[in-house]
Amino acid sequence: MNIIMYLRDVAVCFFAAFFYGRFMSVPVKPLIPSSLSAAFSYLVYRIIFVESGHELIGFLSAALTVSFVSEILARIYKMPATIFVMPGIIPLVPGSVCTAPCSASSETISTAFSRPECGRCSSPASSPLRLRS
Amino acid sequence: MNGTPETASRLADTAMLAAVIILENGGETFRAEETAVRICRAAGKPETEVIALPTGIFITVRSESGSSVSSVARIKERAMNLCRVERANAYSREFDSGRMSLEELNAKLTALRHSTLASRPVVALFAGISSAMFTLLFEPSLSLSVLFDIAVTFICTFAAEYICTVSRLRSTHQFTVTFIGSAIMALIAALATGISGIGNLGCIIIGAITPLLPGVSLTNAIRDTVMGDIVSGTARLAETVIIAIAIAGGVGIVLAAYVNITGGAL
Repeated sequence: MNIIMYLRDVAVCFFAAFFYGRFMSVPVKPLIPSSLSAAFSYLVYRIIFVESGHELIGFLSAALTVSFVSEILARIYKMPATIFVMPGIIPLVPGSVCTAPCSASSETISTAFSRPECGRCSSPASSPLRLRS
Repeated sequence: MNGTPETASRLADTAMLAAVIILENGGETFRAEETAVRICRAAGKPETEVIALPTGIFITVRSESGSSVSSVARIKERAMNLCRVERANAYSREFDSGRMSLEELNAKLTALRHSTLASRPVVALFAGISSAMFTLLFEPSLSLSVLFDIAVTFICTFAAEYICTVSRLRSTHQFTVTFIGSAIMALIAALATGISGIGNLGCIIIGAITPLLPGVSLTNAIRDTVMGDIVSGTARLAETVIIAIAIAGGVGIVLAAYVNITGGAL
């Protein structure tokens, strides 16, 4: 069960990083290994997070994996390391953290402006942005 | 020939062109400086000083006779086109190894700066597919609702990214572009989930904003700071914070209005 979930994450992550790289006009040839490194590092993060529960250690290990692999690939392909780091790092960028303030602010604003009988929108359970843990 | 003021000024122009291409297209500051110094050193002018900032570059090329040529360039637009960074870097290395003359390098860099990029719909399409994949990554299992989420994310990002690139061509400020883009994404997502009654709004929005996220600026900021370019590092860090505020503001305003109108039924 777990293995299927991990494999699905790896496959999805590969395509996510690949198309993100194409979005930033990275050439296809260096993009394939860097997408693989993105998928692998996300797997590292996922395994550490699920097995130990420490999110920060997972992110740190995954980011170290990305930069380590990227520097090696940069030497092999003789291209700037940025090209390999950018698609590799993007699955680790926490979009949920970025939108956490807006989820908080939308609650605060709605509580401030809403009618008194609508008090339920300030409860944490009605936060608009929820993710699986 | 190798000491005339014309050569020195030509060299300064070429080194400047390479550094400008790298900075304008999302390269790190230290890479721009390194490339300019490499080009000057390969042309026999090792006493070259380069200071690159995210918004401008200063280059001084000194000749053996003691005269010097200085050049300043202002960088107004910054975008992400990593293929140009890669090409500029490759050309400077070819020049360094002696396989290319200065004239040839200048011509190639000029052509590179005005080279055509992928068309806007194609770029928006890539962004849309990437966002849809990120939404899928956040979803716990595969079901009809997840497929709906993926489709909505694709539409959100495609529309917002297309509008963003169009408005960026009309030189709107980056803050405004990001703000409008994230607001459009949140609006489409909120309307789609609100009308249909299925789908996870959180997953859609977090997946959709991924192409707007300042992950690249943040990585470059940390790389620059670690390399000792503390001015560029802090400047890029400020840029990151501004972009993050723009995204949070754009999504937040739409969600606040949505919560207000629907009375908190999310």
